[in-house]
Amino acid sequence: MQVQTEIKTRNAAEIRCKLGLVLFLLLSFALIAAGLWGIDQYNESGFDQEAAYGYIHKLSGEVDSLYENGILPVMNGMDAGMKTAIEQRSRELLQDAWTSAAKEDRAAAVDTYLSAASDPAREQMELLSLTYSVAGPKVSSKEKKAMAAMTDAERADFRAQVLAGVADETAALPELAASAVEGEEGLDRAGKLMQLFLTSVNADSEPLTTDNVNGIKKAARSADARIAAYGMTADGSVSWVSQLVLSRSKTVILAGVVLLFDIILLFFLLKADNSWHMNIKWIVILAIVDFLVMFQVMPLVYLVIRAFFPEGSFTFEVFKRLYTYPMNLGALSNTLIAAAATMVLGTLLAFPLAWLVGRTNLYGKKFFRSLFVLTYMVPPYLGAMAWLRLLNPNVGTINVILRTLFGLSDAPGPLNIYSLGGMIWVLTTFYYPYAFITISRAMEKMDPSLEEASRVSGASPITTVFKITLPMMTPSLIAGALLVFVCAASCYGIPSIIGAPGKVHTVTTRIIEYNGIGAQGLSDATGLSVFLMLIAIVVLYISDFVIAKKQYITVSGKSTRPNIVDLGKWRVLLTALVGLFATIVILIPFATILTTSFKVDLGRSLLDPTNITLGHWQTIFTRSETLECLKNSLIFGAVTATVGIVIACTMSYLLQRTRIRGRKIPDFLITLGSGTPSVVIALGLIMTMKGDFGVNIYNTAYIMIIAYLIKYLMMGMRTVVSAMSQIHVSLEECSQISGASWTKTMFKITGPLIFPSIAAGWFLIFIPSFYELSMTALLYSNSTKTIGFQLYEYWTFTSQQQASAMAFGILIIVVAINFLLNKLTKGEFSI
Amino acid sequence: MKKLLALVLCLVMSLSVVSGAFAVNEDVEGKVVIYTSIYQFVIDMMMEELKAEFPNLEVEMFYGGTGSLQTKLTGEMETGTLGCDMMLVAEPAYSMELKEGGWLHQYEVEDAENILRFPYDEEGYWYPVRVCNMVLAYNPKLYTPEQLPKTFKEFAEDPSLKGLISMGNPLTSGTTMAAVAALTDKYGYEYFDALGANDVMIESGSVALGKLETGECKAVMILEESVLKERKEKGSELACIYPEDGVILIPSTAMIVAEEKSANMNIEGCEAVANWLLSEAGQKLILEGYMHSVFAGMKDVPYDSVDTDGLIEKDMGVDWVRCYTQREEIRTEFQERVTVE
Amino acid sequence: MSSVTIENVTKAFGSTVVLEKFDAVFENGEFITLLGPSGCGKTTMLRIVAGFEKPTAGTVRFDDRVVSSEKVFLPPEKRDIGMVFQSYAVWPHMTVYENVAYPLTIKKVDKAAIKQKVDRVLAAVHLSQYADRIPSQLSGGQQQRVALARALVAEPALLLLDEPLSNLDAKLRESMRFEIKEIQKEYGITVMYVTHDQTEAMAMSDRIVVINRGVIQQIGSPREIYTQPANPFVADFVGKIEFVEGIAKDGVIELNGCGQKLPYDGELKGEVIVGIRPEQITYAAEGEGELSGVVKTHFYLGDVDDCRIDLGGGAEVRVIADPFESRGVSAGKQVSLKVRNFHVFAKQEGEDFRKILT
Repeated sequence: MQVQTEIKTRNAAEIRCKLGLVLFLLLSFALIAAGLWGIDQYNESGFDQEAAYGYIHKLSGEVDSLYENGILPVMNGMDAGMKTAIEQRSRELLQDAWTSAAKEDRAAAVDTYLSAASDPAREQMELLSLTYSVAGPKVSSKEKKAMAAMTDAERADFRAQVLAGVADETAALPELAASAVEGEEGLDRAGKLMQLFLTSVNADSEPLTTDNVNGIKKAARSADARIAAYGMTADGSVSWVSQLVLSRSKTVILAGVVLLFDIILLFFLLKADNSWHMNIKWIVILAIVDFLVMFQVMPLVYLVIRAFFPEGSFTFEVFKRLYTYPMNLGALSNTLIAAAATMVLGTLLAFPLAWLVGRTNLYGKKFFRSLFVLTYMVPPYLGAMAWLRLLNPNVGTINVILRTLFGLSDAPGPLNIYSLGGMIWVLTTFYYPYAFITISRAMEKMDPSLEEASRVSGASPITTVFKITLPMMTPSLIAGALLVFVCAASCYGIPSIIGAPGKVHTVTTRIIEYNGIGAQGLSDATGLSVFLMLIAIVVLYISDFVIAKKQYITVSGKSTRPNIVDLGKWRVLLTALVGLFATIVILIPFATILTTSFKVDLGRSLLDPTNITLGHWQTIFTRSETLECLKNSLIFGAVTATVGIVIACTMSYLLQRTRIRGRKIPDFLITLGSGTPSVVIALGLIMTMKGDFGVNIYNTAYIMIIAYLIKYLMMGMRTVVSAMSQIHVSLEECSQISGASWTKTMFKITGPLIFPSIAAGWFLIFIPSFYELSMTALLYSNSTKTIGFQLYEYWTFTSQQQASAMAFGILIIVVAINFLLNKLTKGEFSI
Repeated sequence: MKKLLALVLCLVMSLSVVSGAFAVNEDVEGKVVIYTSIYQFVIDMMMEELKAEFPNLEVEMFYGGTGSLQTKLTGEMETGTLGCDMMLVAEPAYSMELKEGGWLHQYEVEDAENILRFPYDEEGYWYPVRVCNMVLAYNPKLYTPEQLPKTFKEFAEDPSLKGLISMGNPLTSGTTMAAVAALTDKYGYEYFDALGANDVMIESGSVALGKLETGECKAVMILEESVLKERKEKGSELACIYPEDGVILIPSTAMIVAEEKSANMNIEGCEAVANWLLSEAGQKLILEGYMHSVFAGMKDVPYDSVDTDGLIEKDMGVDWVRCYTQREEIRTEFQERVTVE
Repeated sequence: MSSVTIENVTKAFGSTVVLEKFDAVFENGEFITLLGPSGCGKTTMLRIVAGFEKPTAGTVRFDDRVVSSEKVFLPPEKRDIGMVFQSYAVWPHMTVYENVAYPLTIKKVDKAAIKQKVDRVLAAVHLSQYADRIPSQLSGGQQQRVALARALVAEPALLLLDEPLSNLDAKLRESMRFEIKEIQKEYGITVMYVTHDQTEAMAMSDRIVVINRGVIQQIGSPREIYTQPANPFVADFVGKIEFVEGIAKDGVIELNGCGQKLPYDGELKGEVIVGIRPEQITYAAEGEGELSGVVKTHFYLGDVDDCRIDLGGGAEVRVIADPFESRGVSAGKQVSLKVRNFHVFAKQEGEDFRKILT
């Protein structure tokens, strides 16, 4: 009996769930239908905006000739024949320009209007005002305000008196009208009085100011006109539902489409899981997928589609043209070579460094670990500038030193940074921290007994590293390498400063060069971007493929206490080497930036005391905008990072803990975004987020946050994914068995276990968002200026010195934030 | 019925406000958004003066490099409406492009043919409000004028300058595009070959100036205003060479966006600003911004530049129509002859 | 095979002292267990012997070779030891064969010899048919045996095991105990075994080192530990025992609270702690036993009867007896108890012998 009722209740729940799905499905259809109806109504109502504007312009043009040829005499004598002519003309104008459809209806309405007036004199006035008041003297805002301030009775009086004044020039006028028409006579006077009359009519409802006049114009261009148009065809009032649907038709359709998409997805999710029961995790997953599709995918997909349909029809023309152009091919190969080399070098550097700093007794480990992540806390082009100072073949500091040291002949050389090699060098020094961070986080969490077992088996620490540690770290190695590759490929700042002068072109610089020339250039730019997006996807698949082949569970629930390898006699030497590396890669360029910030003249050295100035630093602190920008940057960066990490964790869960088909798609979408050059992302957002698709977030903070998310989400994603892949699912299953809900498990078990990676991922998103400038430069508005943009401004239009001071300031801030968070969370949350 | 009347009256009233004689300043109301590539500090000054002149007008200036603004506008154009009401950016070729695309508003500047000494659109779609000047620059502390090119031709052809010269990128900088259009008009595309053979470095102006200071570059092709700014604000000794084969004067225009495609539909406000720019006060500001004035007969020059009329005489002259219509070709030729090995 | 000499080893992590003046000598071929509650320092000691920790003071020697001291430190890979970890530490990216062969591969032994040795040891742990599997395909017990095989394959002088059986189920644990012991006998290796399970320790060891809070409490054979515990801690940790305090005087110990007396001819005088193991008490006819009390609780467990007897005044003892013997005993009954044997410990100041500190 018990079992029976149980089955019954389970079935009941299942039925309820399925019923709910069906209901929402119907709702989504309803929404789409409603939206389409709204658009249809708009079209059908015949309120053609273009025509309306045309009408207005035409009218003002018409009026001039009318005024000259027909209206003047009428004003004086109102000859019956003329009156008819004007009437006719008005009618024709209205009928002609007002609608593009159902003209007969309109004509009928106009007829009714024109014949319904009870007071023939008044009707005439209105007629005349329709046709010629536009060319007359206008009503000043002073007068408008005065009229708005009148009471209704006063205004009615005013109107009567003004009208009298039009008919009879000698009639007494109210003071306001008198002063308004002072010095005017004849037609001008009458016209002005007409204006006042009409303005006062309107003042009954609300005062006309430029603002609401403009507002009216805007409204005419948007929703309210549609409502009004609809109202014009029906008799009754317009219900709020219709108002909503009519005014936001596109948004309603969007909502319907999203809901439809969600329901379908939910259906498949539940089916695959075989449990017809709403769980909060589905809602979370759906919400995030929706977010991704709408804000990450749509802009990019729109761009890509545009590239295939530049003039409306499908064509490979754009791609053919782009990818056979020799210069572009050269750029393609440069990009690939540079990215690949950077990836290899970066990972080769990052792994041993991570090991030395995380697993051995190297001197000053903590110091080095903090130092190594510094290079990516400043925008790339600043690092490029520093290296340029140091390694340019003519007067580069290092070159000069080398020449004197080795007695080489004069310039240029021996090292030339304006080359593919130079570009690779700078890219590597800038991007290897990504790999470093990913790897060292994972290394910390690895079960040390795996290495200890190798040691007791007789393997030396080095052999252990190669035979055990390295293979076990493969997922995070690959994750780090992937990050480096994609970032290097889509970097713009470094190639533009270092590559371009040396005639080394990359896809990113080519894209920018295509951008400036209008619509066709846009298609070209997008076409090239597709290449980069593809790279990102391919690399993602390769890494997935490789990782999937092996199991790499290394965090299995035993408490870990990393075993420190004693470097023995190598200790001093290795520390020295690491120190040397740190000096070359980090200290020297940063020192260059710092010294530049104090220089008056770049040409002289700081040893000349007249060349030292604090002016640049002063400017930063005294400029009031700086604080505002700083606040904005902090907020945007933090929001982006937090939202990004939440998305990353959820999507990572989807990827690794469920068996749903297509679970790889969000990952793919996220990677797509990161491979796209910043400018292209910004363009995509401008084009899709201005309201055409039902969403308008242009010129707000949201659009910037979304831009940063598109670009940088992948960093957090990769870190979290590789961390989660190293945790055994049993740890989470255990939590579930103990009765914890899915969210609880995520927060109490999985989260804490991968917390170092979450923290690292957070920073990996926060920092580039903090100083981002390419997208900011295109998307910002007065209230959303950021530090990155100020930096760009200084760099492009003020001076290198100013920019250096700003950049160093940014560095200090970021380091301070890191330090603060470190202290607050007792070392848990930091980079 | 009433609704029809109300709507019609509203539309009509709005028209009455819009056209007609230019407004009294207090009556200029509403909001105007301007995209511009003018220096930030000039913008700051301009905002102050506009605020004083039109107290009820809310002006918002969006600042960006020419390339940046053009990119942004391209994106916005896709959607049918722009995010601004007015643009103070780029040069006549771009204005022509926008005019052809139907983006601009026609307005009249009184007595334009007499007060302006630079070309303007006959139909009233754009007027120049400031003048940029492409010259050569060098560092007198490191080199003497004798060691340096005296003409644009020498700049490209003198082998002793190989690897020591720099210029902007015509693919991203409108002024550089105008400059190379003029240069190739005069010297043909062989000019590009010469530039390429001389290993000219393509980079932004501020980077180039830095290289002058450090000595990495001997001479750079750059806008005079950048050099003047350095000289005045930092007491820099970098100096301009006004090439003997002609300076290249590049007027920059003010364009008002067609009403239905603009952000705030405040034509009146835009025209007020445009007229202010073409007034004494506005032009004075331009001079403060290190640019030359467009007023005929204006004797004042920015900082310690040279007489504008004198420059006009020596102006190499840019064929704006060619610059606009043959832009693709010029770009391609530049790419292939200069930036590829 | 080698002996292990631990001389005066102290280990501190920062200001926390984890091992204090550890002194012990383990002979060749002995099976030694370090036994104690969690956190007592036994794993630390093992890791010091393995070479993963350095002693703060003291020396460790294998035979005559100093492996850890103030001046000398031999890294783990040079110590010729095998170790089995609590987490198995079987490498997931290698097959069972490769895992086990690893120590020989490192030593660059030739392939044929490797095969021979690996096959032999795999047979010893009954895993021969799994040689080509990867660890994720094996159960916990099988993985543990892989770890064991790997530790043995190079025939090390010393085998260290860190709580290797704690993750296995009871039945498996029993059979593994047996297997490990067999293998040890066969290979004749010195074994250092760490566990907190006293049954394991008793079953497998030649000698047990009982540790509490970093201090050795007693070293002895299982029999010694059990029958002659050095202090209340050891007595309590190994086997069951009940404690009652009393005063030793004039040939008897008068128990506190109940006033009952036990005959005593030992040397201790004054305050003492009496420990009586449950199996040492039997039921006697009325008046014939040394102690008497009332049955408080009574559990019939099938093979034994487990009772708690209240002696009065808070004093309690526990009796585990043959059900036949204790028939008629039930809760509330007055019984007479004969005490065959009991332990007497001096009472230390400020020590709560009942507490097992972690």
